[in-house]
Parts: sequence; C-alpha cells; structure tokens
Amino acid sequence: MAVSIEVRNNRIHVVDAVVNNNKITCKKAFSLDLPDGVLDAKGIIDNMQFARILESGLELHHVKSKKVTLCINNPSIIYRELVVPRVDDKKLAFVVRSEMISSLNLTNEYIIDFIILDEYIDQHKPFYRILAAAILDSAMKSFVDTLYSIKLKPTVVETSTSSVIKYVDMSGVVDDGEPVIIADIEDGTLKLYLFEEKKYVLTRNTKITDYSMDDKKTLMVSSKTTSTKWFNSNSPVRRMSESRKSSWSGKSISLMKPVIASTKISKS
Amino acid sequence: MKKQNINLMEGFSAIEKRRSQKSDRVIVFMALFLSVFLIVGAFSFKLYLDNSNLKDKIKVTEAYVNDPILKARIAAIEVSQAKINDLNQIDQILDELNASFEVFPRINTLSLRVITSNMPTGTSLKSLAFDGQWFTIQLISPNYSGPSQFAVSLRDSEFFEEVIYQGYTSEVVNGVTRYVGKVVAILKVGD
Repeated sequence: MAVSIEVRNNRIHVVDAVVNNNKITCKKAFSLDLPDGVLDAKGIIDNMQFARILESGLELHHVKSKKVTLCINNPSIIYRELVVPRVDDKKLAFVVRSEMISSLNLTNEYIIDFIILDEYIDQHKPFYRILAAAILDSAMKSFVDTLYSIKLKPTVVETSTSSVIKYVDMSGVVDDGEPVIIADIEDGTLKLYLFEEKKYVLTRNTKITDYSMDDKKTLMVSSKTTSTKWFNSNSPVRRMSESRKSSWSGKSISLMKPVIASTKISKS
Repeated sequence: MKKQNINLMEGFSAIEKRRSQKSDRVIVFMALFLSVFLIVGAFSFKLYLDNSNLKDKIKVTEAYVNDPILKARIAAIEVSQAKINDLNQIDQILDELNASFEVFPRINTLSLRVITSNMPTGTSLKSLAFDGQWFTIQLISPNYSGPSQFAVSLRDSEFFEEVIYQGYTSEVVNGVTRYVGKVVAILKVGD
C-alpha cells in the first residue's frame, strides 16, 4: 500500500493506511513542519532539507512503504474548472490543455491533467465540466526528484481538490444527497469544498488572518441546507481518533483529512 | 472511457521518458561521433606512421642504389653476365654439334668385323677405303662369283643402308687367274 504524503505550504502530512474491501484502516498519521524557504510556488527550493525532514519523519514513525501518493496542496499547483465542448476522448486532453494554456496564460512547460466532473447539455450541445490541474515541469521535477533521493517512488501526484473528490466518491460523507461543505483550515487559510448530491460543485479559498482554537469552533456552523465537515490539519492523529468517535451519518461535525480519504474509518 | 482521476505523474513520466530518449539519442550520437573520430584518427595515425616508415625505407634504398661501390659491382656483374651468356651460347652450340656427331656415320671395329665376316671362303681383302660415308671395298677371289656373293652377303647382313655391287675384273698373277671385285656400301645414319 502506498503511503500518502500531502505537501502544504509549511507542513507535510503523512498517512500510512491500508485499504481492504473499500475500507481504509489508518496505521499511522503524522505531520512534519517545514521551515520557511524550503518550498515556494516553483516547487521545492531546498531539496536536501525537505528530504532530510521527510526521511527522518518516516524513520521516526517506522513507515516502511516506498510507494507514495503525493498530494500537492500549495501554490505550486494550479487548478481551474473548465467548460469544454464534448469531444472525442482522444482529443479531450488536447482541448483541455489548450484551454488551460489560453485561460491561465501558461507556457508549454506546464504538465496538465484533468478529471471530468460532469456532462451536461446546453442549447442542444453537449458540454463537459472539467477540473484541470497544472504544475510547472520544474516544480514537479523538484518534488519527484526529492522523493526519489530518499528512495520513495511517487505513483500518483494529484491536487487536494481531486483528493477530496475521490474521498467523497468513496466515503459516505455526502450520501444523503444534501449539499455539504467540507472545510479544510490550516495556518490562516480556509478551503471550502462544496458538494451536492455527491457531486463536486466548487472550491473556495479564504484567508483567515487572526483566529484561535475557539475561533475555529465558530467556523463549525452548519446551515439549514448545508452541512460542514470540519477538520483541523494541525493535529491529524487527534483528528483521526476523534473521527472514530464521530458518526459519519447526519449533519454532525466530523474531523477528517482529505488526503487520507476513506470510505469508512476502521473502528478496530 | 471517462477520466476519473488526476495523476500528474503520468504526464511527468511521459516527459521524463522523452527527455531520457533525447538524452540517449545525444549520448548515442556523441558515442558514434567519438567512435568515428577515434577510428579515423587511429587510421590516419597508422597511415602517417606507414608513410614515415616508407619514406625512411626509400631513403635507405636510394642510398644503397646510389652507392658507387655497388654501382661498380653491378657493372662488373653485368659484364660477367654477358660473358656467361656468351659461354652459354657456345655451350649450346657445342651440345648441338655433339648431338650431330652422335648421329653422324662413323667407322668402327664393328663395321670392319661385319665386312670381314661376310667375305666368302678363299676371298681376301685387297683394299678398304672410307670417305666419311661410303665404304669402297675391293676383294680378291679365286673365282668370279666370290665378289657378288660378298655383296649379297653384305646386303643380307642389313648392317649397311645400301650395298652396291660394281662388278669384277680378272687378272693373272704368276700364272693364276684371280678375280678382283668392287663393292661400295654406305653406313646407316645413327649407327
């Protein structure tokens, strides 16, 4: 089983989990702080330090797995929702790439991938709603090379949004069909993922300049029509233990982490 | 098939593969270029060495050929060679002469024995002459048939190529008539 590593601005989250019959059992989860200047929007700047921190963290927590699912959740990755005419699958990648390059003014040095969120017909013409992600080749290389340098093999590299979408697809978080907001807050950034009828609708990022733990709880407000799934990225282990106690059904507040998306948390 | 997951690693792997192939191509091209350069260089160096060796050998050979002592020796050898050629010609001529002599008719004891043994009883040899080819034999017989018998006997011996009986004359000596016959015979060539 691959170990999941989420790289944020100043922190790395690591989750070692086992999937069995669509059930995920979390074996280990921990976070590693990154000092300033290790990462920026162009990828990893200080490869040596990043590798040392990650390697020592994996050794400390006895993580043996070498395959890695890497979730890049920082400004080095760009994602955008696009609407493109429905075309042949073989041509879709080219259309998405062209659309991304023109809409975001990207260069050819960007690696682009996408998922089809939805398909709909507008004025008798079929369209795809697509979530596309782009990363600079050099930034990607910095991540991959750094992982290779400590003998880790990245098999999947994705964005936080696609991780959350995968998680929602697999889990029972939004089974009831009502709109649900999944909130991810860390270091002054609030990320909201809105789902409706188990379908991804949108993501919003908000800066929070000053808040305390008490302030966080004020964010755990669920509206009459929307439930908010809340987690604190600063303490993943505690978050997991609390999530075990929580019920996944209903509109209760649960603590979770997108990168370790699971359908059901093992109670054993 | 509808695309379900984002995986930027796939795109990156494809780019890395292209990069690697490009790098491999460059390495192969460089290796090829280097190999060709080394081969051509080595071959040129070998040719240069061969050329130098040949030039040295030409110099040595020219010095040897232009040596005055050697030239004098060569001239002497040429003179000697001409003499040897003359001697060889003489030798050849002598051999031819010898061969001619071998086949040339020669008088020997066998010829004389054949002549005397074929003389009839009572006849005696008066004279015998040989001019290089022909024997002229004169014999004295007490009867007139003696010379002709001798000629027949000589022809029957097949020792001679041709035997010609030239007749006889009679003469009286001391009251006794005797007959002098003349026979000429030619030897066979090569005997």
